[in-house]
Amino acid sequence: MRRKNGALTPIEHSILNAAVRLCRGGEEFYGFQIAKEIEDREGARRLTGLGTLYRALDWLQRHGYLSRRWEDPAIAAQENRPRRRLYQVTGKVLSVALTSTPVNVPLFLALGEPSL
Amino acid sequence: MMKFLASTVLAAFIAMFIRTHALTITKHIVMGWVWLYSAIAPKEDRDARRGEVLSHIYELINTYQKAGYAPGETAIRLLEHGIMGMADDMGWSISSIPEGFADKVKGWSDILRHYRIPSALIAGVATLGLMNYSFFSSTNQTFINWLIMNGIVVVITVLLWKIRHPLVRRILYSWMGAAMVAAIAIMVWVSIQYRLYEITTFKIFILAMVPVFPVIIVVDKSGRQRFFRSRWWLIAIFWAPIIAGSFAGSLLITHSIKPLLEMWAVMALLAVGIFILCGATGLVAYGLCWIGVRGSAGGLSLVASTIRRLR
Repeated sequence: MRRKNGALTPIEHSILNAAVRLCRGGEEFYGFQIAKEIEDREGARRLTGLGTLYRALDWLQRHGYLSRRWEDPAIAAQENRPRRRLYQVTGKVLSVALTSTPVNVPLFLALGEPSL
Repeated sequence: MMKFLASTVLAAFIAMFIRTHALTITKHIVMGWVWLYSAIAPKEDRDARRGEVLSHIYELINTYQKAGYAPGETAIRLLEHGIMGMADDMGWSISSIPEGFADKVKGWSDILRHYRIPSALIAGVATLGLMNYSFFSSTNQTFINWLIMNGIVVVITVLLWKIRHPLVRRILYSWMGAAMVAAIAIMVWVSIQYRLYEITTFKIFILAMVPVFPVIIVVDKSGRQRFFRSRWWLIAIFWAPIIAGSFAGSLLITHSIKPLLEMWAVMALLAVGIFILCGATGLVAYGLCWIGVRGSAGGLSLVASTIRRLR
């Protein structure tokens, strides 16, 4: 989908909505959780495409909506699984949510707590 | 019947194998695709993407297995998940190409477009390709033959490349003269040895081509002058062995010079024919290579503008 004037695309909106829901308790999340959250909550028939998801996450991180870090390798080794890349929403998401465009209303509602 | 049974058993075995290992196979397919499209990206981005997708696949399989999905079903979901994002994978791949790469590609295109690659080099490469192809398609060739053949083409190519140098030009023209002499001498021998002059159609052919011979000897003066660079005595030196050898050969084999006289015209024709054939082949090879080079330049230019547009 072509981006208009640097605005968020629908998938990026969906990701931010899901991210806000997952981050409520200040927790970090990883890529698959977002895909599953979108599928479960938004009634998607299937998971968002792998490439679509990570390309959007990449864009959101580069534009300051999300921050990310690699999980401690010791934890992954302890649980005997590959290392996760953990994401967290930034303050910029709040400013997007507070703008009054109709497309941002679900995001605003998802935010719930103004502390974000 | 046995064949049918064997193929049925094999098909059943393959189906069972796929069913049992569907998840592993799918996982490898998806990771293979990730490995492929991320290969162009810088190392840091590439490793990050591969690591992230590997973790994603692990989480997906784990989640669906815990939810009670059969491995085959999980495999289908994973495959679908991977396929759905392929266009974006490509987009990501292009956007992660380092800045300046498009300019570099455009630079290569400009080099191909504007820099005059020596035609001799291109023709040489094409000839080498053709000769090696014919060499490998022939079974009774030795390594020495191959070496000599390629060596000759490489040397001639280098000489043609550096043709502006006077010494190179002299060597090349001498070789061409010698090659011409050898070719004509061989043709004389073959024509007499195999009594080609006794065939009626060949006689008619010879008569029709008689005027060609003086054309080559007399009319094409400028070409001859270019070849021998005004040293007229070289002409005599080059032609003397042919004439003497032909007379001697004709007398020895047929005890007459009549067939030799008939043969002259044909020899001239064959010589011209061979040169025309070689020249045409060279020109075609050159033309094809040139089209290839120009096409590559256009293709690279297109790649550069596509990268710029999609970045």
